[in-house]
Amino acid sequence: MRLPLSELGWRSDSVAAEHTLRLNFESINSLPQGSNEVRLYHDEILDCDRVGKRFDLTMVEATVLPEASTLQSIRHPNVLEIVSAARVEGYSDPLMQVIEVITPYYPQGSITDALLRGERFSGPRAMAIMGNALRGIRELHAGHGILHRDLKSGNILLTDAPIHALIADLGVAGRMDADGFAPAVKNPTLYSPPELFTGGNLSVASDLYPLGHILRELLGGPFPYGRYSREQVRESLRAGQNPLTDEDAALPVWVPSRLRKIHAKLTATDPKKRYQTARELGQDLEKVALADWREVGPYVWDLASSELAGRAYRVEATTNPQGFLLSIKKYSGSKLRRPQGHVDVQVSTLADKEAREVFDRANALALS
Amino acid sequence: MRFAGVAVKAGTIHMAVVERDADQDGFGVGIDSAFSRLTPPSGPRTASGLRELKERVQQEIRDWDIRSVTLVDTTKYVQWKYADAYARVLSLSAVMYAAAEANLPYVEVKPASIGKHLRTPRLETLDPATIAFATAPKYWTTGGLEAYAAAAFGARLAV
Repeated sequence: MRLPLSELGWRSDSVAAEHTLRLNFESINSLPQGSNEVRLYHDEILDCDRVGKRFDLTMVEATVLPEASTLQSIRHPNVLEIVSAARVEGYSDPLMQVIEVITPYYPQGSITDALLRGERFSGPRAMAIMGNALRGIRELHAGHGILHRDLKSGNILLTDAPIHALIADLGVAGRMDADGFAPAVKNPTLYSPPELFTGGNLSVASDLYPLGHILRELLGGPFPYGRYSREQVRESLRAGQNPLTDEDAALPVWVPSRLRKIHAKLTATDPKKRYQTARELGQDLEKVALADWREVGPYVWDLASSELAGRAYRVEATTNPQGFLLSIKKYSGSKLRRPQGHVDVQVSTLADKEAREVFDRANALALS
Repeated sequence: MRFAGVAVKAGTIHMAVVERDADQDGFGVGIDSAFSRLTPPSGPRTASGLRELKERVQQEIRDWDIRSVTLVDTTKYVQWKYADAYARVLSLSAVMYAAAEANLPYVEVKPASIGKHLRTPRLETLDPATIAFATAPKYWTTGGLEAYAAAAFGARLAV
């Protein structure tokens, strides 16, 4: 569909009324994203794709910063940049004040888009996405005093290395007051912190909470979104609880203990027990070394020692009446051998402390 | 105004921040909450590892609105192990790269020059009170002291 050019026109009244600047964009597609209209355009002059997102400024809550000006003021490699913004005229309601914010188009889309395409992330890639996304969030918090208030996998765009991740959609971002709080905006999602409904204000700890769920999706695949209705999510949050079931919230068995502790601290129900700054979280994440684990069969996990080395170690769980017998094996050519000093470990479940210690040892071996 | 000081010890970047205004007496005020220890990424040595470390240093610089970066030069010239030299050069490169990208003044200073400025010839005996600490902050003896001292020296150059 080609839009009437006047909708996207830039008029330069100060030069001459008959001169009109136009963004000669062809609308290729409407993108399903949030509550605002989002379009994918092709810029014929620069021969590149752009994304346009429309906002009716009269519908924006008083505590919400206008996205265009907010984005414009933030220059950071991990925050989505704004290319331009335009007023959109021609709506039948004369009170509407619609603007369209134009940003670059990132074909990989968001983490959610990638997960729904069936893509999975290696451990090192997941950590790179987390680390870079966190830098973008840290810039919002520390550099601009802004809370995003709507972080979720769908609002983190993926790019190639070295950027890896971009924070997008500051549509409900709000400025923190002197005490570090911003009013809660009631837009419940699976990623929302429990205090969205139980407290009146959100803090940096509230903004960091969703990162626990995003980390879980990066490592373990998408949540079964369809199983959670909006009303269910709202009710759980009203009760001060995480809407996700324990099963859906659980990290894969191979995740090292150090990263489990970070995840637990991120997703603590009490905001006081969470990370209080993105910097503090970043420092803990930087200490985690995560090998490239792959589940290659039922109860069988291979891991590579580096991107170039290929398979290096295997952890195997054999079922028996007592539970599982876990063994670490090392690839020696095409054969598997038990590394010296690593005896098999009997556990009743894979969530046992002893089972986690086996995966920790294997992770350390692969990274040594 | 805030100034960063950096000391690289045992492959770890110790980065401290001192605040000092133009009309302020003394050597500035150390900001405990701004102190950071950054270690190069573990695992195989890759070019992206340098960029990653640079990004982390740069984020610290962004957070604290730094005006200059002063690095404590080493006095060790012999008996380097290659692994130690590699870690130091990688860390230095990351700090220099981050300062250059942020368009910040970057200087390297010998411990003796810093000690002279702070009137403590043997820098390792520096009193935390010199930069307004009631007691020695965390990591003071493992790299913090030198980093804070370098930051105070940087403040003297700029103010």
